[in-house]
Amino acid sequence: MSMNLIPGIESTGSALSAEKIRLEIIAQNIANSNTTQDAAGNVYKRKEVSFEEYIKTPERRIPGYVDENLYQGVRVTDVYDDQTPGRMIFKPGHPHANEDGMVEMPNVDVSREMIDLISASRAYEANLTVVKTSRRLAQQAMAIGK
Amino acid sequence: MNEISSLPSLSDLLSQNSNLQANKQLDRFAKTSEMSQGFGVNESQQTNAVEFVPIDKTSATERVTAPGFSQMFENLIKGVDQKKKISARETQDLILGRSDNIHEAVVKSQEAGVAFNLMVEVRNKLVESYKELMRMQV
Amino acid sequence: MAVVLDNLYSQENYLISKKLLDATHLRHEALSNNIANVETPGFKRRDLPKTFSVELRRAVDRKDFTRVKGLLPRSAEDRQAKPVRMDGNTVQIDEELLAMNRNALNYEYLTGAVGGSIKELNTAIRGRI
Repeated sequence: MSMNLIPGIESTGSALSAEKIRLEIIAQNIANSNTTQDAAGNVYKRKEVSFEEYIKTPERRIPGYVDENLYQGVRVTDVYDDQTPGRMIFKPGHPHANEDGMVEMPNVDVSREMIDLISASRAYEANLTVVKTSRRLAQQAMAIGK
Repeated sequence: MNEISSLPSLSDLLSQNSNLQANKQLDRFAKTSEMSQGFGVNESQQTNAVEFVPIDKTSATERVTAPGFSQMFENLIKGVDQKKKISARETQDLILGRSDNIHEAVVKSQEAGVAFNLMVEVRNKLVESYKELMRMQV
Repeated sequence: MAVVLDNLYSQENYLISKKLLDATHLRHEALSNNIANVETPGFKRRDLPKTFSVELRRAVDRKDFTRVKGLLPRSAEDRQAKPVRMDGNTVQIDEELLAMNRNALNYEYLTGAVGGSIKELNTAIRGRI
């Protein structure tokens, strides 16, 4: 347990980390939207992150203390592959085509990824402004009576 | 023993200080607190407020101040001490991360500071009054 | 505890401001958590219940300052919030940010008010600014 002078900073910090991871995953999806074969010989499958609210279990019940600090923001619990089959395209000359001349494309829909990108960016920006506000509150509290 | 009954009450002391502007708040607590009860702000209480104190039980300072007053001052010291303890506890909680109520810690620390200032100023006035008494021709 | 000290800190507005400061601080934490979870599936926003200010006002009207001192602000799930997404998340980021800004301004005012009382006391006691 460390000193926590800025109200809500644990929550906000957790969100910044989580959204950053999400942005990286989205960027990776977009970059690989045409990767028909990776190092292991499989078509690229889009990756997703799963978010979960982070609620701490109190180490011990301290009588008289209000346990408002249990709500600590958000957490990335998993990064997993979306196993939805990708589109099959008829391209007989393609190096990765199968016997029927079909190539499986990655299941990445770039427009959908862009929408997710915008949401994640917005969430990230919002939490950045929260940091500024929270810090201002702490500084105002410190100046009481001075 | 006229000197004892003519010892100024706290509200008199405060109003005599030319630096101190008339402050309703200060007047209010001076008049309603234990201090004034020990002294007797009302004329009717003044003669009842003072008792004779056996000489061998008191120090020189106590002999010239009304006995109710020293008790009151002791209570004040205890009160300040308590406020300091509360403030120390809250500060410790903050710096150890047990609490994140920074405003609580600051407010409690400021309150303890104000109480302490009050105690210091009262003490100063007491010493001033004592010196003034000592200067009187017997 | 010396009665003197109790009287020093018994001013109505001082007590009310301190209590509101607690509530505003708590509310800021709840709103921060909401904004942090804007993209969390199924998350329900939390806030200081509106009953808190009602209770506070009631206690002040009754001049019951023991009650004022004893009021404990707590955050709770906002049952009236409607889901804005398919996954049941009830956080609307614009509303949340607006609420946070207004709350922060309240905090600024209250710290000023409480600080002002402290400074006034110090001035009165010392006899000079």
